[in-house]
Amino acid sequence: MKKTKNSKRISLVRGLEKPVWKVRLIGGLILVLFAAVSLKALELQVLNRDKALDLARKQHWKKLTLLPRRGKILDSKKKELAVNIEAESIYVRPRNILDLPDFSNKLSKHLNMPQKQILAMLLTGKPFIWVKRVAKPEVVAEIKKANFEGVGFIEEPKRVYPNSYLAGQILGFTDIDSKGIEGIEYYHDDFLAGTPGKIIVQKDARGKEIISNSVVVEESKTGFDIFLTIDSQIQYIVEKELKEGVEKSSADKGIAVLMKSETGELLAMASYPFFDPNKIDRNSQENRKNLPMWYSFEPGSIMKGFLAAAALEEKKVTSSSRFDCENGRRKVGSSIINDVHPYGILSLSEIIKVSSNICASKIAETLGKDRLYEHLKGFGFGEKTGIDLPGESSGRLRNSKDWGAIGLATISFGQGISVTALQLATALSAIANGGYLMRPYVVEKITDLDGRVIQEKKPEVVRRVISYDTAEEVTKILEGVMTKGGTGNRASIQGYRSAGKTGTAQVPNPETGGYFPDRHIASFIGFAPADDPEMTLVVAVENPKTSPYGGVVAAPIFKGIMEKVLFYLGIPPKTTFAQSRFMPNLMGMSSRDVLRWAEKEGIEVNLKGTGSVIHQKPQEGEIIKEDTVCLIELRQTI
Amino acid sequence: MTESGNIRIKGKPNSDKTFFSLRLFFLCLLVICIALLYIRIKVETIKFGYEISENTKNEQHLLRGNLLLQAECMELKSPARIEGIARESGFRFPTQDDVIFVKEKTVIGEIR
Repeated sequence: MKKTKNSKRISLVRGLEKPVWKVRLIGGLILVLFAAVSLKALELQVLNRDKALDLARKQHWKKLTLLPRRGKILDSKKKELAVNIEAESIYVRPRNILDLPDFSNKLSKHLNMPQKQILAMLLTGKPFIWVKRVAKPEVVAEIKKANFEGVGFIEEPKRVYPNSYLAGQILGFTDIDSKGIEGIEYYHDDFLAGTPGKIIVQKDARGKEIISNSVVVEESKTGFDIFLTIDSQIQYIVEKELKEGVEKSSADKGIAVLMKSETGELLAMASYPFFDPNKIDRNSQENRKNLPMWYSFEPGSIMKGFLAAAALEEKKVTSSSRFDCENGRRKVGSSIINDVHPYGILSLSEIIKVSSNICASKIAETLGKDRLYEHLKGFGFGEKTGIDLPGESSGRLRNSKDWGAIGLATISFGQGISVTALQLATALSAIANGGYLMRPYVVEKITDLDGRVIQEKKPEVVRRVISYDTAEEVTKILEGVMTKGGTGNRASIQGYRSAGKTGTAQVPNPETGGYFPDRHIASFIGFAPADDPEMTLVVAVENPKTSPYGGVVAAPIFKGIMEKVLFYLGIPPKTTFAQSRFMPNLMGMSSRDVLRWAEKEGIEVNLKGTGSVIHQKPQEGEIIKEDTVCLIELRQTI
Repeated sequence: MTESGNIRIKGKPNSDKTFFSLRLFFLCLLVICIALLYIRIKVETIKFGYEISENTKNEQHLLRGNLLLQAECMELKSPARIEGIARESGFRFPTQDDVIFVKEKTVIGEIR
């Protein structure tokens, strides 16, 4: 029994021997493996922790730049002039492409680019190549459909100007990276650009982004919106009239500036040929320039208005002072000055009205070169106006010390001095507004995304240049230019009082030092209504072929613009009410005819009903006064 | 402790063993369940992440389309285009004869 029990025990132990050994072996192996894993874990988690973490981060997390939205540019009526859209750019990773020549051939058909150009780009050895930035949506769709290996797409912001060329030179444009290059886009780039943000996005093994696990490191800040003083409707009227005028006279260029006389706000500024910022490559470099502030030219007889203002301010002359115009020919030093038409003795008003060069030179002599120089400087000639746009020219006004007798004479009628259209507009506005030289501006305000005003421009007086009385007197003289017999009568607007001055100047020839015999700049400057000036307008046309005269070429453009803008702004014609008169018979008249009569007579009416007049009060023949309200009843008649 | 012949088997009674085995089993089951739940939550989170990514992309696509449409709308409203259409339809720019300036206090069409 004992033996049996012992042998059983032995057998039991023996039976256990093998499994224990195996278990120990396996256990040992597991322990070794565990130790290896632990060591590796120790290496990764402790010894090379930073390196491993860095590798993991690189593999799972991607840092992306959040591009900011560029601010919009809007006109004074909140109409968008420059906005953003998002377009896709196409890139290629050449290392992922097996047959580069074949690939470039296929891609060239979609991109409408030469195959050699694409192949050359792909063979530069770079791992990432842009083949088309901000491509058209249809091109992107085609390439996506073709499903090329190694081709990728990235969304990028694209600047769009919905009104194409409207105010193109003022707005300027941006480059492919949304950086302002010219115009408002350049000058206010800091406000418009915004600030890029940063986001860390988790990605899976295939590189697919998991947005929900993203971490915004820094929010992108949208650029500020810029509101201009420009009214796009007025800008359109100005551009349209300018284009028609330039084409009609077969001229090379046209310039127009429309400014609020009181404040210096620009309502419109145009250069023809126009520039479409959506098609930068298709426009010549020359067309990009904002001519009213960049291009300086000899103003010609336009300067006589400022000469008169200076002489009147210095009290050297009155509007009735008389000068001998020597029948159209006068010798100054060794030079001869001519008038287009011969004149005898004329008053200051008449001299300006007919634009006599000879008498202008005599007024300048009366005034003296130093005083004339000081006044011209005072009006802002020879210095930048300080407008909030880039690329302004200061023009050229030589120091009076360098003026000889002929120099003084020629400057009096606008030769030997160069000015910009913008300078002319600000100087003439000083006459229109009672003597204050205003700083011109084109940006009304800058706001953030929520409409909070960041910066607002207020009218700024640079200096007083002439007294109110002088300004009034010059205005009357310039009104005379618009009347019959005046050089600017083609610019007069029916129903409105307006003031202005024509200019015809030869274009200097830099090679000879003289002037081109057949190249002129025809110009007209003026403001309206003359009794309560609202707007100052400068029009200049370079090299017109039909006629060289400002009164023939530029004056009609002035009239076309001013008339339409006055209607647009709802500025009514001036009516003068006769002290007392009799009520006419309005019976049977239409409401339109009654209103026209009321407008002409400056009378207030109350119309009730529609159709023809069946009753009127006061009755025919009764006396009506300025404050009389006429009650008119109308009824439809079959 | 029980004794059987020369062999002394140390240990708990069978009922105790069963109890502990069951406890161990349930513990393991619980751990597995928690682990599975955790994995499930993780998988769902990632799945939702993908969905959010997809929806965000769709949203961006729609916003992009909206911006394009807005820009197109602005182009359609440009004065040059409107004037062209108006002229084709027989309209013209008003002349001074066509415009009547009415005094501010003028009342039209009101029956008193």
